[in-house]
Amino acid sequence: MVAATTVEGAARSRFRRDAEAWLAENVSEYWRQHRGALEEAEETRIRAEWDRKLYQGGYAGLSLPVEYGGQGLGLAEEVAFGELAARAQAPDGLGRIGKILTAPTLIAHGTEYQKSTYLQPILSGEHVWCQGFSEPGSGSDLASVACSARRVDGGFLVRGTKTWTSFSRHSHRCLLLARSDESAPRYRNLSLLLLDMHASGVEISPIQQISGSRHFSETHFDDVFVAEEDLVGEEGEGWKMAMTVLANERGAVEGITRYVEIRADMDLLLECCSQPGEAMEQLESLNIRVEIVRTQVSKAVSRQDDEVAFLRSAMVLKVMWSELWQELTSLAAKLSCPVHRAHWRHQYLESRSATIYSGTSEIQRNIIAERVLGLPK
Amino acid sequence: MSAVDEMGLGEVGVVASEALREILARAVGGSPVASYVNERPLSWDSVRQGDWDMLGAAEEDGGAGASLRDLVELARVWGSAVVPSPLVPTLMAKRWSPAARACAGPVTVSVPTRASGGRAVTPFGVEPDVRVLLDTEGDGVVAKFVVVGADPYAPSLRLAEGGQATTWSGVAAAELRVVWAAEATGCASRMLGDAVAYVKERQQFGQPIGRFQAIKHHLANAHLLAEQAETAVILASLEPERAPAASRFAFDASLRVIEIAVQVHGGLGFTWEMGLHMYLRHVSALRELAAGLPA
Ligand SMILES: Cc1cc2nc3c(=O)[nH]c(=O)nc-3n(C[C@H](O)[C@H](O)[C@H](O)COP(=O)(O)OP(=O)(O)OC[C@H]3O[C@@H](n4cnc5c(N)ncnc54)[C@H](O)[C@@H]3O)c2cc1C
Repeated sequence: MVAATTVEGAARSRFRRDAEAWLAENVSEYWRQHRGALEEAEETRIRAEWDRKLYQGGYAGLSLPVEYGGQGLGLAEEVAFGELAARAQAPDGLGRIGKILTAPTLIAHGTEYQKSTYLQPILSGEHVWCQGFSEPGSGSDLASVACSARRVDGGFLVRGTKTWTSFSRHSHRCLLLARSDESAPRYRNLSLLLLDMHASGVEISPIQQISGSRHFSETHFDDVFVAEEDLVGEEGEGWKMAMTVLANERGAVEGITRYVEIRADMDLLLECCSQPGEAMEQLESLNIRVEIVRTQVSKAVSRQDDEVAFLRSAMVLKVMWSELWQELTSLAAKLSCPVHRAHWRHQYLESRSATIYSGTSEIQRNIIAERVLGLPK
Repeated sequence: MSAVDEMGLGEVGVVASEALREILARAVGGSPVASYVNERPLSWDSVRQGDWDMLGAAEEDGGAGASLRDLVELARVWGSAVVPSPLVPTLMAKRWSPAARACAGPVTVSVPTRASGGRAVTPFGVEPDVRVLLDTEGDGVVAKFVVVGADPYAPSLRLAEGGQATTWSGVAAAELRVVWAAEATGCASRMLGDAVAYVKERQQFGQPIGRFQAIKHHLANAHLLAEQAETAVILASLEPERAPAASRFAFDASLRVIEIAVQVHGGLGFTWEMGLHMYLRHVSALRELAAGLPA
């Protein structure tokens, strides 16, 4: 037992050392200097390139099995790498939906075919994924989605509209939640499909966001065919599958990648954008809260084998980082650094979204109250 | 047990905090805090018999060799009951000082606080037979404590005011700040648990008040703060350079949790009898003491 721990400890510190060296070599100075103030096309290019670099360097899919192109390590390494990437100010890859949402969902519920077909290109950065959950009429009330998947020979025909679909213009595939049974009761009438975004009948209309960029779209499906093999889990089990997706969307790996971005913003604020002696108390409090996010992720990971304890510490992550980031960018905007005006204007607007996507802060609080604290529905 | 998996928590921390939980349950479990806070529900003899005061001392000094991380776990359990006993200052004094270890009875420390106008404040200073560690340097200097005045604000801390203050060296002040902050987070977790239980029971408008979204969001906020407060003191015990800021965060967050607990208890929460204020008093007094420790 003791020996195993020591071996494990040594392997972990070797992993950290190697990763640190690799990051130092691979994060470009150009990105470090200009991130946050780049044209959208250039930012997209750099983020896509980062996915490929991660794969070549052996840092994609750290916690996924080796047979599917992963590294066969654990959540602890995933989190450790995220932390080091934060310090190195690494970019956030374009493949995050595929890696953070699709991959763990397929590992948990996918068929052999799905795992061997989709995981490797996700990890290599070849395939970008998007998430087709929200609709014009179904946001927080996700179970009410109306986009339909109608049974046909060999699969389904998908018809309807998804909205706020991030990455859709760059995507090869969509993780789509659709209503597959009009007569079944709520929570048993949905199915999760892996839809080909290049199939005929898919139409994407970009939507401009408050920051000016067009990172999401309205996505229309006009009888788009999805083959039987691309149904995840059983037909009618879509809600259960969606819960796995949402847990990952709000979980530890997501939390640590958010820490990456927030840490970089905090450093900038401390090093450049506040005058000596200015807003000291607020800065100290924000700065320690950033590190509490990091430690909270580790704490959740350390409790992953105890379901109740894990839920207690993991369910707070989404609200923690999203509200912290907003407070940080609000203070930065107020402190008005002339050197980084464009950056903070952008981040201030961009961070408004963090308390809306992946479940609004209000919905998160409902979940904490009902699922963690056990208050009556 | 792998250190990584438990956020650095050692065997001592796990075993001792479990045992302490049982001792507290036996001493006060279930009874309202207002009923025991002016009594002595846990005698010093029983603390001594269990060698609890030596938990933080190094093994070669006859202690259990608890790490700061272990002590954080222990202090969290301790904070859950605000039992009036000088255990925490004593086990810290005995951790640093041979002179303190030579005492059979409790040993405390004395800290000038801003709120007392710079006068030294001594937790458990009004307890009989308490000694005070006047200097943490080297072997340490321990003296009999002479009560000048009493401050009745936080009954669970038996505060005395006036007299000589402790001189700090090495890591002593920094460690004590973390442990006091951890105690505060234990208070917060307990208050959150009590509040959750209460809102499931209390009925208004024909339903448990815990069904109202406003109450849910209050308690979700309390949970967010209590979780982060715990994480902050774990962080403080592992990364000394972050400890002062993390401890300050933990105090503020813990106090806010208790305030929320008072709010959701309604009028009952405002009664002396219900005792929630004992936790408010305990944590705000500890926060003043911690702020008085040298940086
Ligand atoms: C930048 C960004 C990217 C996104 N990317 C994607 C994506 O890639 N794929 C995808 O599927 N979706 C995406 N979304 C959509 C996101 O998941 C939804 O916006 C979110 O779930 C909220 O739904 P809604 O916008 O319909 O708001 P609504 O549900 O209409 O909410 C409006 C307000 O009402 C509150 N509210 C609603 N119900 C309750 C309740 N029960 N209790 C208390 N308050 C309540 C909400 O908290 C909110 O404040 C993205 C959103 C944003 C902003």
